[in-house]
Amino acid sequence: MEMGNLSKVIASGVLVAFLGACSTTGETTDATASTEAALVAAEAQALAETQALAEAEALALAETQALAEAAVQAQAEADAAEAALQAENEAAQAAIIAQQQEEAEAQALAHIIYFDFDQSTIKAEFRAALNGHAAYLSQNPSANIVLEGHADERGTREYNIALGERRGNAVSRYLVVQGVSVDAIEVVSFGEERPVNAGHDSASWAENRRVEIRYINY
Amino acid sequence: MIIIKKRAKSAQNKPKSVFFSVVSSAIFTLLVSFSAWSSDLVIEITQGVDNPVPIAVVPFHWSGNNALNEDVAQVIDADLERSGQFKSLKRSLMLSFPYQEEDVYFRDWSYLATEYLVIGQVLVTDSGGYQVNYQLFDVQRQEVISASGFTGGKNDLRALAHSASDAIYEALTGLKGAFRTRIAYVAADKKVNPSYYKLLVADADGYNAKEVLKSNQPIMSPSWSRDATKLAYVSFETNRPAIYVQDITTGQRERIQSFKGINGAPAWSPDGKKLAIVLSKDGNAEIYVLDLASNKLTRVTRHYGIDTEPSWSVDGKHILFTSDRGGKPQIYQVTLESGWVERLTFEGDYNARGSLTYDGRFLVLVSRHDSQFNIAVQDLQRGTMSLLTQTSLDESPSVAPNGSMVIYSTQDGGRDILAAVSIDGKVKFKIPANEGVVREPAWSPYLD
Repeated sequence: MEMGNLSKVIASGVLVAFLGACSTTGETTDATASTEAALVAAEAQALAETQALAEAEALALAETQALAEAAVQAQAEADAAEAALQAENEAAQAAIIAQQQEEAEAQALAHIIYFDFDQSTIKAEFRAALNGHAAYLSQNPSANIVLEGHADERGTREYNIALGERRGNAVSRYLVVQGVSVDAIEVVSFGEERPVNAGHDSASWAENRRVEIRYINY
Repeated sequence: MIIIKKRAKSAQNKPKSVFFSVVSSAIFTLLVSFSAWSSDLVIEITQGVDNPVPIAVVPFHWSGNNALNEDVAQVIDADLERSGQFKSLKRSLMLSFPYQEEDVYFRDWSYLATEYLVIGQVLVTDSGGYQVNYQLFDVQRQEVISASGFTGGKNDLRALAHSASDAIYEALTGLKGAFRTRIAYVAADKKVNPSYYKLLVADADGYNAKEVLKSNQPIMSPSWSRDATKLAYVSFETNRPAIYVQDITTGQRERIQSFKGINGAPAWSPDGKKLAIVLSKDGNAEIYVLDLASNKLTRVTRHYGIDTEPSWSVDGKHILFTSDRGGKPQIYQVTLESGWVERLTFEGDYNARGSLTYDGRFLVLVSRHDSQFNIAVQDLQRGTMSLLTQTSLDESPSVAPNGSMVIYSTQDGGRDILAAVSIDGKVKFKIPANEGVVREPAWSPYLD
């Protein structure tokens, strides 16, 4: 405990001495005091500014965050809308593709039915193709066709017009029996007037004795 | 000398039937170019009679300053030669070119083995046209058999020459000539781009070919009105067949009422008031008669078989047609008043497109024998059928108004051409086209 008292004494002495020394330069002491005050003020201000800045930053951050959140929300909404649209498109696309596939299948079917000389009997080899056309036409009521009847060059021209029509009618009847509406079919005979092969031999004639199935609407 | 003046044919303006639907002028302009000239046909005589009669046609006298566009004597010469019954003396062998009777030395012509002599001259008329006068002599008897004169406009010189040919032919054969007539036919060319179909009308000697209609779709079945001023035909210009009637002088045309299906094979009645046509509106090809004034349509045939290719009897009381009601196409005849149908052909399994000569004696048709399609003629009095042609794809026979020749289409070197054969099969000539193919000839009635 004694040591404590001694320390007090020494400390007091040092302080007095320090104060005494200070009193010898009185003006300086005043200037130093005002500088210290300014510093304190500046520090305070700086602190305030820093705080303000921080606050501003915090605010900005909050705002940014809010915006970001809003953006995320908007994006989510947009995504949802897009997804819905896409789903719709895909469905439409699928329908179109399905239609195109059907059309393509109809198109892929034989469109030319061939006949024997002076005959309008539909040969067995063409039934599958005609069944395909019949199925398509039955399923697509807006579709319609023209059956173009043709003959080879042998025989008289007007008789061949009648023969071409008879062939067209034979195909028409076959399709109607398969369920196609008679209103979806028109028969036009060109007789021997529009040959596909201009030759004058059996092979050319066989190519020209035909009914062409032409779709007006699919 | 007897001078018979004949006026050149002028355009006739007959009242238009109200029952025709007038085709719009736009389509008309697009498709019809009547004034367009087409390349003429060239006739090659391939077969004549064994002993043709020798005749000399002296160049016709012309005193005008400028040379004539046409050599009248040459036109007459060619007409007579084309009949297959005459053989002309070459000019280079003639000893003189007389044009008046007093200048004819019969001894000279007799020396050249000429049996008949034609002289004549071409004069200008007051109206600036031409007059063609001729005299026909029997060389042996040294006398005039026939003499006449014909007048026309300045573009009618060939027509006047044909009139002279007609008169000379009649004086020598007793049969009126059919040289001053016309032929309608269809031409097509699928090898050019764009490909085309044309309906043309040319003089009977192939000259003066004029386009009546041009289309990018088929044209078929031209048929002459009995006054030779109009053609009925089938055109596919709407992608469907329809029957049109066109005045070949004015170019004006009308579409007769058309129906779904076949509208085809128009044929004028002898009185010119009706058209026999083929329609399939009631199910299949049937013959109908359309009265042009009243537009009344009368159904003539009723059969599930094909009935087509109508043509009229001379008196207009019957219609001949092709039908496969017996299984194969044959020619039948229906009496319009009673509806009675009788079969006319029995020989062969394909007889079609029958038509009668103007005297009603002969039935001209297409007949198949040994896989060939030929022109045949059936004598309706004797019932015998004979083939007039021996080529393979002969069709569309059409008889000259005097019954002497049948024009038809055939194939030559893989192309459709026109050819003609006399009703007795002795005379033949062919008429190749310069371009494309020609077919479906229709010989006009007399023009006057």
